[in-house]
Amino acid sequence: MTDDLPHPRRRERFISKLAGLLVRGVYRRVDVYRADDVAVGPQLSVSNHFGGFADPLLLIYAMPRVPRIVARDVIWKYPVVRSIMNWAGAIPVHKAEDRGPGSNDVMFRSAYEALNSGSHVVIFPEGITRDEPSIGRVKTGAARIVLGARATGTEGIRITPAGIHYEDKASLRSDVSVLIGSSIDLDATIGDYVAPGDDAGPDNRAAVRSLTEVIETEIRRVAPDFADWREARALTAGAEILLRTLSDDPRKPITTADRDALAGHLGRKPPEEKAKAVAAVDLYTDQLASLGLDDGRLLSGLTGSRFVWRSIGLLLLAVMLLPFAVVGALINWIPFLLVKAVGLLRVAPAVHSTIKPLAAIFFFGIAWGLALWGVFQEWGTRGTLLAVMLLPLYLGAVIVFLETAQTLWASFRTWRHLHRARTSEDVIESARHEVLDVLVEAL
Amino acid sequence: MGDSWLVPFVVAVPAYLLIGYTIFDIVRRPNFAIIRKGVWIIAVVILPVVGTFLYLLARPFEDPAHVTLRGNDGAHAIVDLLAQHASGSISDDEFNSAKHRVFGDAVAAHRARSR
Repeated sequence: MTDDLPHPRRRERFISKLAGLLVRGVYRRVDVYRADDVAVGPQLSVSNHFGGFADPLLLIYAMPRVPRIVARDVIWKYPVVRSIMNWAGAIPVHKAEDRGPGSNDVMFRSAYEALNSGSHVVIFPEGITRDEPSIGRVKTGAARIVLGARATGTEGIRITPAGIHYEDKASLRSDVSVLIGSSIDLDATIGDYVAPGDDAGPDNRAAVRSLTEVIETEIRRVAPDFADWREARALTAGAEILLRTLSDDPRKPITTADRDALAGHLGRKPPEEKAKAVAAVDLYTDQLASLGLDDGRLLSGLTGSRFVWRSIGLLLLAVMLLPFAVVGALINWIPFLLVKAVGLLRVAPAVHSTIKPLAAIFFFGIAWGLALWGVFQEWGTRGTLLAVMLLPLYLGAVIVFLETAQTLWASFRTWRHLHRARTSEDVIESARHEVLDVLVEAL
Repeated sequence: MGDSWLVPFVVAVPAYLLIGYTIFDIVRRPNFAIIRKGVWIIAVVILPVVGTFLYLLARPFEDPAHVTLRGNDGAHAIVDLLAQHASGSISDDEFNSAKHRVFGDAVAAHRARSR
């Protein structure tokens, strides 16, 4: 199975670089906020499981130390997948229904061994990916792994909660944030779960249950945990409004990690306060939408010379980018349409977030491979190296061009709307103040 | 295809921008010994394509958490405040007064700006 040192330094660097490249290619922005930076000793990170295949990649990218992912051992049945999993140091757990003493050892032996050798292990304790913006029932596996590893002699285990927040699971180039909470020191807190004199191993059901509750609370603290999607969207927008109000420069983008941390905090408020906040935010965002606006653009000024200069600047940028965007579009339009076509499949959002990045890697990989092969035939090795570096720039030019064009079009629409109805700006401002009052009160 | 000016233009402009950016990145990179900086800059100047390619390949990613925190300003204060409150290092009263101080100033400034 796995060798003694599944993550020699070179391989670890390669894995983290690969994950970084994929994650940065697939998502527009990935913000990471870490409450602490544990990077040595045995560590079990527990995370929500929202995005299927994307979750482990994001955690590898976000964590200070490359983790080994716990996965069901059935995956090891498939030949190529098995080699990849072993190479990446994934840990197979046997998911037979737990019956009788000794079953912990059979299920989790490889996880104990990983913690015993001081590795960083990641588990998704809900067991399956979810499509609701909330935490499901946390299973006892995580608690049994750490208690079992401790019982077999591992000292100083830390449990670190992690929360992954997808702006939109099903689309490419969306924003993601990863929040990593403070670690729990298992040795220091073991008295909270185990009565003195009791067995502190994984067969102590009371201990497993109370540690599982603690793990669940900690995950809820950092992961998205809302009543429904409407609440999730409204409170996230509300958090963004609060942060933009505090920011010294309203044109600077808001750190999504901060936004999601704040939205999570609002989500833990009593239902009646949340309902008030959701209503205020919905009213404000509806008014903005009727003008073709969003909060950021409202604050960065709708009229006056600053608005005009900004629009001229954007127009110049778009004109300069145009030739490179055309090249990028010629190379990328076929794989782009193919990935779009995959997106039309009627499957659950969690499945989308698994197959869309894979489809993107596959189709863009083929298109770029063909382009590079053509360049190699014509211009040789040096031309190919240059092309490897320029291909991402051409794609970037397309993306920035389209986003700039979109902003310009939206500015034009807003300008036209405001000229028709002069009073709307004040109405919107007062709706925004209402949002601030309700949210600051709720915090 | 090679006769047209369009191909050299479309290739050369981003290529020179990239090489320029690479030199800028070598100069500005923190915790990077001056001798290594010198060697890399010479490599990029002598062999622009190969040097730039190798440098970008060898360059480690910045720590994402570091990148995120660098983008923060006044907006991050409230998240720190919430974390302190959650960990119990400040009391409810301290949190509430700090919250109203932070937002009171910002909301007042915002209202003044919007008038």
